[in-house]
Order: sequence, then C-alpha cells, then structure tokens
Amino acid sequence: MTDKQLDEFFSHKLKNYSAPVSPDMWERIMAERQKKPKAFWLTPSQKLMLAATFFIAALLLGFYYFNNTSQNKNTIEHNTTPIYSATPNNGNNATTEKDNSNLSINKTPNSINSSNSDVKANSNSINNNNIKVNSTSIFSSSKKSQTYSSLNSLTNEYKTVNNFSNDEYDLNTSSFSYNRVNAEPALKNSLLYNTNSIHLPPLNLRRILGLDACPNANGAQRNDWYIELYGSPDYTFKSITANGASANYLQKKDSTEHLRGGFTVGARFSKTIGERTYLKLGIQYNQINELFSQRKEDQVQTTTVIVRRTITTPQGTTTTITDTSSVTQIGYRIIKSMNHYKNVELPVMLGYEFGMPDANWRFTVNGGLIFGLSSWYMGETLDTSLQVVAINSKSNSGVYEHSFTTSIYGSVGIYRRITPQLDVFAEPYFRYNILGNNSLYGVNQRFGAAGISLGTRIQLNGRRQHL
Amino acid sequence: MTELEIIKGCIKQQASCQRMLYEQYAGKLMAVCLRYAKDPMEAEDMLQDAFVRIFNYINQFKFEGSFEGWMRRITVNVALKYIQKKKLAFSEVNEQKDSTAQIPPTAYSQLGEEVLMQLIQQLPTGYRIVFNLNVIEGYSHEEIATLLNIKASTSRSQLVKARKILQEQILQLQKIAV
Repeated sequence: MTDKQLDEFFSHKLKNYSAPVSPDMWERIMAERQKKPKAFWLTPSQKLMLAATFFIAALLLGFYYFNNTSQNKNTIEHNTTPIYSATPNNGNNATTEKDNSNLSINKTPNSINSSNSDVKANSNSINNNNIKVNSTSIFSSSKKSQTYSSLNSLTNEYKTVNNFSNDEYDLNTSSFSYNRVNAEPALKNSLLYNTNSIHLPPLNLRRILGLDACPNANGAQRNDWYIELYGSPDYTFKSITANGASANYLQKKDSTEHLRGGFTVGARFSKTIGERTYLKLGIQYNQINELFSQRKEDQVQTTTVIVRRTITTPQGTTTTITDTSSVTQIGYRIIKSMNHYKNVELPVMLGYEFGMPDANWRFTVNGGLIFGLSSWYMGETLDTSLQVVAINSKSNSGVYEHSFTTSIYGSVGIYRRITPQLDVFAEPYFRYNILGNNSLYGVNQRFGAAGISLGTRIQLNGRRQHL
Repeated sequence: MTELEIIKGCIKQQASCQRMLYEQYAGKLMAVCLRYAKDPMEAEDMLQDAFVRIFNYINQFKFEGSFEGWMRRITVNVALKYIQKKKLAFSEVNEQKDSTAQIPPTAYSQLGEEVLMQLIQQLPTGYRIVFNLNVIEGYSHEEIATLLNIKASTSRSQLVKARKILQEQILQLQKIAV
C-alpha cells in the first residue's frame, strides 16, 4: 500500500469518526461559560463601579487636603531654618526687648504699612538676634506699639524681599540668611544681588508637589476646581507581538493593516492640591482608525458581452443576430475596509503648574494613567489561516479580548488666560498602551498615540483675589 | 430543526439550540481532540474550550462554507494552543525513502476506527500533529508551517516519520493477529 493509500484509508476512516463524550461535558461547558471573567477583565458594571470609586477617592483626597490646609492656616509653625537674622545696628536701631522666641507672621507688607494691628505674630517682640520669616509672609511687628526705626528700615528691606518674592513667586523654596551688620551694604544694593546669601533647601517632595505650600500673597491657599473640555487629533501607532502566533502570520497581519490616525474628545475635572499641583480626573472617548487592505491574487473575473446586430437583406427581410462572448480576466483584487477601535476611557493624572497663578501664560506638566472602561471594535482582520474575519464585537465575543486596557500618559500644557474664569490651552501629549489587547490568534496588539489636545478650562470656584 | 436554524438560535444565545448543536457535533469534535491530545482528560479539556469558543464566536460565522468545517477549525486551533503551551519541539528528520516493508491492503481492512485512533495517539506528539493536520484535516505543509511556526520541510519530514511508524505498528498488529 502506498503512502497515498495509507493516507486515504486513515482519512476516510477517521474523518467522520465520533468518539464517546463524557456525560458531564455539557454541564462543564455551561459552567465554563458562566464563569466570571478573569480578574483583570471587568464587566461593564464593575468598570462603572471602579470609575465611581476613583472619582470618590479623588474627591475625598481633595477634601482631605482642603481641610488639612484650612486647619493649619492659622497655626503654621515656622521652625525651619532661620531665614533672616539681624544684629542691632548702631545707626537707626531702637530695638527694645530681646526675646529668644521666633517671629512668625502671616501678613503681607502692604498690610503692615497700613495697620500694625492686623499683623499676626507668634512672638511679642522682635528678636534682635534672630528673626525668622518664612515663605511669602514677609514681615512682622510686635504687639507692643513701639516704633522701631530698625523695623522701618527692615520693612523697606523686606519690601525688597517682597519684590524678590513677587519675581520669583515662591520664596519659601529659598532661604535668606544674612548678618545685618555685615550685610548692610549689600542690602543697600538690594537683596536681589546678594546671591551669596541664598541657600537652596534640600529636595522636598511635598514642597515640589505643593502640599506644604503656605498661603500665597493673594490670600488663602488655592482650592480651585476647574473643568477642562478638550479634543485632539491623534497620530497613532501600534506594535504587535506574538503571543503564540507564527512570525509569518504576524507579517501578513501587519502588511494588511495600516493605521489612519484617530481622535480623542473628553472632559475632566481638575482640582488644585496645594499651590501648584493638580489632580485631574475625567472621561474621554478615543477612536483609532485603521485601513484593512488585502491583496488577493489569482482572482478570476468573467465578463459576458452580448452584441446584437440587425441585418437587412436586399430582399428586405430583417434578421437580428446576437453574438455572445465572454471575457475572462485573471488578476488581483484589493479588498479594503476601515477598522475602528473605539474606547471609553478614564484618565487619572497629576499636573504641576509653572508660572504665576494669575499670569496670562502658564505651563503645566502632566502624567498619569488612562484606564479603559469600555470598547467597541469594528472591521476586519486575518485569522491564522489568512482568511478575512470580522473583528466586530460589542461584547466579549470578538477577535480581540476586551481586557481592562491601561495606558501611560504624559503631556505638557500651555494655558492662556482669556478671562479670570476662562483659559484656553494646548496640550501636546503622548500615550502608550502598557497592557495591550490579546487576539484570538495569538497576537498582542498595543496602541500608542501622540497628539495635541486643544480645549478650554473653566474655573468653577475659587475666584482669586487680585492685589 | 435545520442546521441553519440551529446556528441562528445559537447566535441569539438560545440554550436549546446550543444543546442541539452540542448533541450533534460533540462526538465528532471529541474525536478530533482525542487525535491531538496526549490523553482523554486533556481531550475533554480541549473539547470544553472548543465549545465555549464556538458558542462565544458563532456570530462570526459568515455562512460561507461548511459549518462543521468551521467548528473543526476552531477545535484544531484550540488543540494546537494546548500543545503549543508545552513548547513543542519538532526535530528535523532527513527526508528519506521509506524503508518499511509494504503492507498488503487487506491488512488495513481489519482495522477499526478505535484501533486507528490508538495508533495515532501512540505517535510522538510532533508526528501526530503533522499527520493529523495533513492527512485528516487536509492542511498543506505550507499551512502547517504557518500554524506551527516551523519550516515546511520539517512538516514533510515529520509526516514521513509518522507514516513509517504507523506502518510498522500495523505490521506488528498483523503479526499478532496471525
């Protein structure tokens, strides 16, 4: 018997062979189908709950910080590095009491000039040897109504400091320390130029994030809520890796799918945490478009041509002749269709703002995660036998598993103030899917995108008090 | 109920239609799984997964070609996925002319389906898969190469070796019978 006969014998015998099946197989199949999705896949209701949890957590976080900062507002102790130390000078000094206590004040120089009674001080007198002034709280006074010539001079000098603070805005990030006697000439030239006396503090993450920010020159700590509405054209890209698929299949799949950009629209709430840090949370719709194009070789097209002619004989009889011919063309055919990957997502991110809060131009850097909440895929792709199959799915029954996708996100925002409550912004960004989608055919597909979000930011509360 | 009606019912996720589909094809698909699995337990796992996938993805059936063929293809893919998890290695075998003694055709006629199934199941995994895919399922060596991520020549050599072993085993059975 030849190989062919052997093959045919096995094929014929086994092609339709039916084996006994375990009696409980049906129950097993049904049980498997009713199993809950894997831990990382969430049903729509679970996704909604997760989104709600994130939202509530963000609100609580904001509320916690707001409360914390409000409580601390009047009891801030400034026991950090002495910022300003002065010794009595023979000239104008009429300083009276010596007191080892430190001086801590929450008032702007403007108020000092107008009324000393408004000044809050933790100590009763100015310490000749040691005056501590922190952050944007510039100057102090004692509760005793004494006139300090040195105070006046110091006030003037602190006004210089205040000017400096306005220029640099956040004075608490630097410490001033100088000996008044030695530094007097320098003071005359302005503190701005006394660069030797500026000491950079050690790196403090809480300060960088703005969590320890003291009240600013405008009043209370920021507690601003914004809503940001944005839209973005996206330049998209993707990477596909084998997760069981062959290299040949990957190559074929890649050659038939060409990304055609996408877009994102969304809205997000933005809440200040501290002075410069924002927590942003929202919802957005993202769509990625892809051209599916497959070239099919050896396509046969047959065209039937029917020609009718009427012939009139000399005798006057008319005959109609019908010629039928067919033309067969063999060539290739390109099948094209557009795939759409649609996602509803939950962006969660932190932003840090540069520039004066009241300035017309401000800049932010943002980073965070974008969680997929729901997705719809439509279009076509190749299966492992290189046949075209639909990827359309609204539930779990698609070519791509609807896993709980997560993307990392980074951006730089440029804000332009239009009115005190309204900004417009442009935000170049980059995102990349860190988990990807697995397909039925053993491929992991990850999308990335770069784009510029254009939008408006509306302040919901916390109108600023301008000087 | 026609097959078309059953399929449409399954697309609508009707349990009665799913049950009918299962009753109709479970045995045949079990036979497919048994040919690929190393033991009946693994075959049952494969069958279970195959039916879950068939029910989940039946809305993708385009009503072009045989529905049974479509289900078989899914079952084979599931079986291959199981096997690929084990990091199957295909050893290269030189393609050479079969030196096994030719078996008279009458020797085959005595063999029932169960015996043939056992003979296939006793083949080394690599030979078994290629034999199944090529001889029973009708895949070409190029298609097998794509499916298994191997060279077409490797597929051919595996088939040669599989045939050789099968013929040897059939000869042994014949000797025992005599």
